[in-house]
Amino acid sequence: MIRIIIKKREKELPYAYSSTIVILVSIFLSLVVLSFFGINPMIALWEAFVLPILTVYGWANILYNGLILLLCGVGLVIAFKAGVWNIGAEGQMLMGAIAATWVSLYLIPKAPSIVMIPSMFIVGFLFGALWGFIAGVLKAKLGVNEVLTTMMLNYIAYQIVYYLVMGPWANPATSYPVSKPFPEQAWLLSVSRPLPVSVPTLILALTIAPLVHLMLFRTKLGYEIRAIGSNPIAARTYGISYAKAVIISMLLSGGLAGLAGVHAVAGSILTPQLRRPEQVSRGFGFVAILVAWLSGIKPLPVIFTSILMGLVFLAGFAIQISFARGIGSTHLFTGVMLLILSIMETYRRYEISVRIHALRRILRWF
Amino acid sequence: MNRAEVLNRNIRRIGVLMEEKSRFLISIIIVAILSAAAGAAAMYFALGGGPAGAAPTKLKAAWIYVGPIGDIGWTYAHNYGRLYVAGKFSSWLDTTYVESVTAADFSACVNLLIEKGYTIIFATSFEFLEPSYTAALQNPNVLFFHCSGWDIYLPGAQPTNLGFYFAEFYQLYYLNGLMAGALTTSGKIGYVAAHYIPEVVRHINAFALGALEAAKYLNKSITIYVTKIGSWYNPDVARSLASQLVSNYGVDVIAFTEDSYAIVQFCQEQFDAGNPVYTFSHYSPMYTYGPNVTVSGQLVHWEVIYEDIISKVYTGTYNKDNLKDKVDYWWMLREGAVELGADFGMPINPNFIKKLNTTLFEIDEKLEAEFKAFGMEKAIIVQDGKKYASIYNLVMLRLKEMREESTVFDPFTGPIYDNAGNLRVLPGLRLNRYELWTMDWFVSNIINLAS
Amino acid sequence: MNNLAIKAVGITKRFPGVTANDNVSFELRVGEIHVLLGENGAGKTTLMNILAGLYSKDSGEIYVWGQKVEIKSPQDALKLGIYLVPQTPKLVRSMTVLENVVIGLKKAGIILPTRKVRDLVEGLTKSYHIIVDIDAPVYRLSASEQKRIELLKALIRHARILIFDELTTSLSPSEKADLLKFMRKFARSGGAIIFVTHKMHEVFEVGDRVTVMRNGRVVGTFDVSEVTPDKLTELMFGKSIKPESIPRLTKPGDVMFRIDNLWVDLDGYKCVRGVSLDLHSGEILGLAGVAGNGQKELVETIIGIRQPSKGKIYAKLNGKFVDITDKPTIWRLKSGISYIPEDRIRQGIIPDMTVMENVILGFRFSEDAISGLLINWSKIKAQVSEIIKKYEIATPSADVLAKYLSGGNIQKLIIAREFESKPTILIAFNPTLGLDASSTRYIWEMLIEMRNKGAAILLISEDLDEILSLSDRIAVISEGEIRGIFSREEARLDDIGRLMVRAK
Repeated sequence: MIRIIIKKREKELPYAYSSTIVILVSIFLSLVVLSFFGINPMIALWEAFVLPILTVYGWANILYNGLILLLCGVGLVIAFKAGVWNIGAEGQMLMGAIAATWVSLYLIPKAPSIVMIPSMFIVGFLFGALWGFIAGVLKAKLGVNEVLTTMMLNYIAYQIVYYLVMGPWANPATSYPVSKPFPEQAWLLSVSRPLPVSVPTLILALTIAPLVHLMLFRTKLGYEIRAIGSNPIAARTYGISYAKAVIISMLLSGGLAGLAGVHAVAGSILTPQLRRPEQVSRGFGFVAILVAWLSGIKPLPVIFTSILMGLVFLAGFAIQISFARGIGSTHLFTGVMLLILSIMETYRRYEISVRIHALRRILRWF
Repeated sequence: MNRAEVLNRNIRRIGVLMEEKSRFLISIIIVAILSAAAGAAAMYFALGGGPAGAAPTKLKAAWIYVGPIGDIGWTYAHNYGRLYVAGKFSSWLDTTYVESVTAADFSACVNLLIEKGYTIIFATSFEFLEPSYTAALQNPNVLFFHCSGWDIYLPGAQPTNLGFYFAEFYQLYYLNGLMAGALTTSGKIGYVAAHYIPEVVRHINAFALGALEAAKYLNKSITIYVTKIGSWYNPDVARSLASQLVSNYGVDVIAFTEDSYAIVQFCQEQFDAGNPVYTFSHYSPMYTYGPNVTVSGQLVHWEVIYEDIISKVYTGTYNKDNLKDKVDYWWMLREGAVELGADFGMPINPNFIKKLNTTLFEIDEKLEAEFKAFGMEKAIIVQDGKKYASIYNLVMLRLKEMREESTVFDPFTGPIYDNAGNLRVLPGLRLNRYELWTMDWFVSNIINLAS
Repeated sequence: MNNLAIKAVGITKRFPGVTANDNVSFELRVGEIHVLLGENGAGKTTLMNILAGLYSKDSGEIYVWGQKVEIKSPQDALKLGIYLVPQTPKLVRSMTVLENVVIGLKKAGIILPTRKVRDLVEGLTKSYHIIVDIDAPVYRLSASEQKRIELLKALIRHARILIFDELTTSLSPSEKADLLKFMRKFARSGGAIIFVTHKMHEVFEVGDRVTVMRNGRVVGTFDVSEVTPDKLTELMFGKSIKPESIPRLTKPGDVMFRIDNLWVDLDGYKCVRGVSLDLHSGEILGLAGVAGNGQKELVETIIGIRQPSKGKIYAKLNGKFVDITDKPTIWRLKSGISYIPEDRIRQGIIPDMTVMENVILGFRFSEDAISGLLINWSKIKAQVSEIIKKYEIATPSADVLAKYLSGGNIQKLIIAREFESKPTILIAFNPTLGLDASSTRYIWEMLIEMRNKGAAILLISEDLDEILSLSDRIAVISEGEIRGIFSREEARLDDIGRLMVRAK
């Protein structure tokens, strides 16, 4: 007989502990699964996680993807701290990408980099913030579930980008659905030469993560956001505005995803231009949710987990290449990680012990 | 205390310790990761996986796909080609692939491939054109083959180690158009397109030209209603657009460019409900999804192209210095890269052969001569002093003509008017490749519903 | 041994840093109501949780009905007939009473509830005189009615040993009497009851025997008839403490706070019906009433998280009498109105925040440290550490999450926060609900001290002892209306009790 006994812990396990377990166990389990397909796990470990970081291009890719996840992830941390389940980073990113296109191609196409790049990020923030704001206001004022609204807003942003690249902003030089290339002053990699990573985004992201940390833990606003997210009833009883916390957190969350959107188009290794939405956001708005959870809903660990997730994606490609196993390898890593994460989320709060009586009886024989 | 409790207590203790001395523990974990990595490295080299142990004799080719290989469409067909050459040349060829790659991740994948010793890279999406160009410049010793691209789209001069290849369908669309024109009773034909990019516009026009020719011979008036999905793969929208074409425009034949068999299924359902709507296989055989409605279709054989390229790389015919000049495949019926058919080996669904065989039209001297030139005298039926032929035989004739070494027939031969009434192709002239690659106008009998 | 329902020998249970049960032995006889008496933190609840299968013991032995057993889960406990009646009923609010009773019951069948089960439940309500409408949805029931559902749940699961954990905290006198009747009947018909409490008078009201615990140990077991309250108090606290006479202020001051014909609607139901009250400085106005008679809504309207449908609220703030009906909560808090909420964990604190973060809730404490761009936590921490000492809050440090504090210490934390804001008006809603004697005493003293300093205090409580011991005036609320206001001298327990439960 098998008995599973679940008891609430007197003290929850810390996130630093559970997330480390999640990462190590999921990598381990993924390698075990791969070994069922005749892949030597040690070689896989080397080829997936070590080889990619030995090249400049590996780092370029990890940082390009990682910075998207970092900005989105830090943004999501703010929303999650306020108890708002923003799953609209995807759409908010696309709004940022639209902003970057608009600023660089139509608003100030002749401006020098020093004006152009900050303007793109500022307007990108505003566009993303608008997308978050809509969901925030609907939740705070009308009680509309934010999961639904942010999801819907994703689709709307998708369609707007499609409309723009196929219609008014379509590049006349090609019939493919893309905008004109941005002027070269707007190319983040071009101003960052010779480094293979967008330095403006890197500086921005590495500044924003600690700033968000300060905001959440050292300011009144952050205190209010955390209080509303943790216990809205008590927070409101003691005069904290629910609407303010929800709306501002969604505004910031959307704005940071908007910055990620600017980076996604203008910081790309490809020619910076608005592309089909699938090519811009690439589902990273959803991966960022995983990143935020792995970080224990804290802004500083996102710096680490987002880069790690960037590595995991590259590792997925590396496994595909080395063993011709297909995209399943990438999905294996992220899927197992998600699975272990949700198990650990429970394990953090509850003691779980499994007792197999028959087995123990058998063991006693030996 | 039992083992589970001991374990639980230990884990809890670790938890408490973590909180108090997390730095200490994290450093232990980092050490553990590093030593695992070191172990992996040792094992990697010990097992001969390292650079020293790599077998240099085999040719290594890699495919980078935009979609998943299980899409039963574009990527599936390319991967079939890869498996074909991998099997055929297994003694000297190693292959691998990466699927679901976005343009932004392309160069990272290329570099991983080069790291692993791959020297031939096939990039199978138009979106990979720019990163392929960049990668070719940065890796002059690696051979890059880009599918569906052309030098006019490159941001700079074509690198010598970058070639292009494509299997083109417009001849088949023209033949499908002939059949569609013969089969329609309402005179209204539909076309569901993915995007209005030149490749698709070209196919729509070829299809319309075939229908127009059939209309001319059969004294029909035929209109083609064209609409677009806005996506390469969207079965739901494809299906609903097809349904609108049938119910709002009275269409009874539908051709399409979309990577699923949703429309074939829809047509089969219409047939089962007593309102037959005919259609064509697109890209891969779809006959089984609609045995009563799939008249014919366009099928691809990437393996033909891959076999040719790979063997020529092996023999040294192609090398890093001559791809620019030698590799620009634009392969069609003649080369066998494409096939007319509802299914492989089934050019026309047997259910329709009789109908197409009995649809007769009067032929002029020019056609009579063409039939005779291709040994199809039997196709000419003489009645009351007039000479007739069937649409079926016309399709067979055109098929033979287009397989010829020197192009006897091309659908895009003038005079061709666009749907605004402008003469686009002068009488007797053919469109050149540039004109075909940049086509942005519709043939005269097309009504664009998505404008 | 045969007449023992439970025999526990040498039970020890340690938590990190504390030994909650230290070699505890305990016997429960068949047919008795056994009171387990002790302060909060004495180890009563831990022992009960071990018996109910919620905790595993570190060592010791348990015999139930004479058999040695290992109780590893609540299911195990239930199989042995042990049922823990929780402090707050664990119910599905949208379901009916009947559905709640049969939930999870194997014999209930797949389609709930079957005729047979229905008859069974109805039979139980009759034979045990449990008065509750079994088809009413739970959210419409009062707290005491909800507690009766737990009894039904126990009965239908054939429980023979009931453990009541602080059950009587919010019952009216008549409801309490009904419950006592039930307990006697249950015990006399072959069952046994453990009654966990920290209230002395309940020992003598219900108990046959009493076991006293202190600091995780059993300090004595007695027949109730052979023991005196003084003796038990001494055992509970380790030394004899005499209740001091509480000094009273004879003359109340000016009116500080006025509620004028206040009406509150909740989903169309009028919870508060024309309440008018004056609150003077230097007085405690006790508002007595059975839970669920509009107190919650009244209080929430006073602090501004609920809007009245009619009526006004005035407060004298900084010497001026102002209409505060439309002022936001934060304005009221900062102007000197303090609030001790009833549900201390859900409303009073933010459990996942630290002690010091909880102290600044409402932004009245250490304002200089909060006013800047960044909150100066080190400054706050220093000040909070002093507060922790001053209010005797038992916590390792100011950085501990508030949820890890015991109930009494959480309440001390709230009291500290609200008192430190130097309020002129204090709304205290069930401030000692569920607290042990020493914490209760401490909070009472704090309230008196506050009043003596001139604050106007509105004390809303379901505990009549508390109202009678502290109040200068007593108002009685029932069905949202004020039924009567008494001065301290003219207030008599039976009058108040009658008004509390009087239906219109």
